[in-house]
Amino acid sequence: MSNSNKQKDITPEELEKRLDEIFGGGQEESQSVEEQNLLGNLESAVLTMDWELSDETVKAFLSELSSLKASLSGDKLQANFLKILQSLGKYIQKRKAEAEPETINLLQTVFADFKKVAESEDLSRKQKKEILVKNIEQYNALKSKIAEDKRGKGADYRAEDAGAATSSQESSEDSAGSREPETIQSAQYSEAAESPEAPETSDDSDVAEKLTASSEQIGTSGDKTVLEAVEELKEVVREEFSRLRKDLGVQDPKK
Amino acid sequence: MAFIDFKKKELQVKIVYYGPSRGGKTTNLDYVYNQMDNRLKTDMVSIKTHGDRTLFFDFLPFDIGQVMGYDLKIMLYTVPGQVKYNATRKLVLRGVDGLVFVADAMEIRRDYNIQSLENLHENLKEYNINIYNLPVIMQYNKIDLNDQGIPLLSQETLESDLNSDLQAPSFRASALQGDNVIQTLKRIISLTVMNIKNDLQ
Repeated sequence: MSNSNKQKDITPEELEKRLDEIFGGGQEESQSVEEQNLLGNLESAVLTMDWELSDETVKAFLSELSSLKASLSGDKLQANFLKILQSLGKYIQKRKAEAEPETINLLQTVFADFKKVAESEDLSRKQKKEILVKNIEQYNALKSKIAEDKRGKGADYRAEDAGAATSSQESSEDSAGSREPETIQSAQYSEAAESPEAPETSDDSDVAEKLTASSEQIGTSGDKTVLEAVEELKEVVREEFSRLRKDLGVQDPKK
Repeated sequence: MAFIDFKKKELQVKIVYYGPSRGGKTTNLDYVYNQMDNRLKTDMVSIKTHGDRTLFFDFLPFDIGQVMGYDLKIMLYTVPGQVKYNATRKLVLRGVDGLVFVADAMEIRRDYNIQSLENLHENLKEYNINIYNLPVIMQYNKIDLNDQGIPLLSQETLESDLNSDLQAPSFRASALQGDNVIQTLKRIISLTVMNIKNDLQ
């Protein structure tokens, strides 16, 4: 569900509209065409950056990224790819020629994987998450490398660090781009590195979480209905095993 | 009343698909799941027995927005329809906010529908829930069987048997083909959410 959908209470009309969004109400086709165009624009921006790295090309890249981000905010997995790309883009924008040389390569790799995830109909959710995790690991590795390089630069750099660290505490999305490499190490760590990991935990544990929540909702232990249901379930499980044994031609060990 | 998780600021709305065995409750949820926008798709939990029957219940959760500042989570459940699993059915009904009664429109299943509805009344009574105060949708399923020459109950008979007192909104549906499945769901969600919203206000 997009953030814009969560800003206020639902009226019956809005509810109907949201349910149309979830279950398809004629808007799906035009939306996906729009997304395809945005993805194409972003790809052009990435290729242009590879050809010529300038303020203008990075700005165009970040702008395309923002448009796509707004469009894909309902999909956590894809949104997290965009967050990594944004972090890398903002770092390149600030450091320009001084940016870690591997950054642009990583940006291209992350984009290629994002495109694969966005366009592929064959990949399962699990496979897509694995690709995202791989990208997060590569991002974190680059982040560590930049941190190490910075530490190696010694005391001259520390004065600059202090200023940047202060600004990172006053973080906002717009000001993030004006920060020094700390952006990618600290503030953006929380934005891109921690957030991308979120789906990994939330998606997998969602069902268990929901079942736990629903079991809390259903009742507590010791409750008569719960105990009856558990007994009923045990009986069903016994029956199931008995049928399975019969199918396999195995004798019940208790008999 | 819906379950409120104050910590997460989340309102959990429980909608239960109830009805006789083999009436199409799970097929309804399967269709709903398959129709969900891929970007918003969640996992559906479904545990089947040896004979492909629902063992405990099916469970399909998804988010739809906010009410009174709380994230609204819709949780769809089915119950096992087989008579012998009444304790499980009763358990799933606890905390129910909205109900879809999936009746089997086949003529030979007439008595099963009536028995299942009586069973629903009894189980709700145990939780002191008055069905007349609960958002309910009647779904008369398997209308597609008419094309195969299988005798179906008329709309009048179904309404008279199951809905004469309740006067709930009803849909003739085919869960297998998807006819009126999403319409049923949208209607029960609308009724339930607005009912909860009124309660909260």
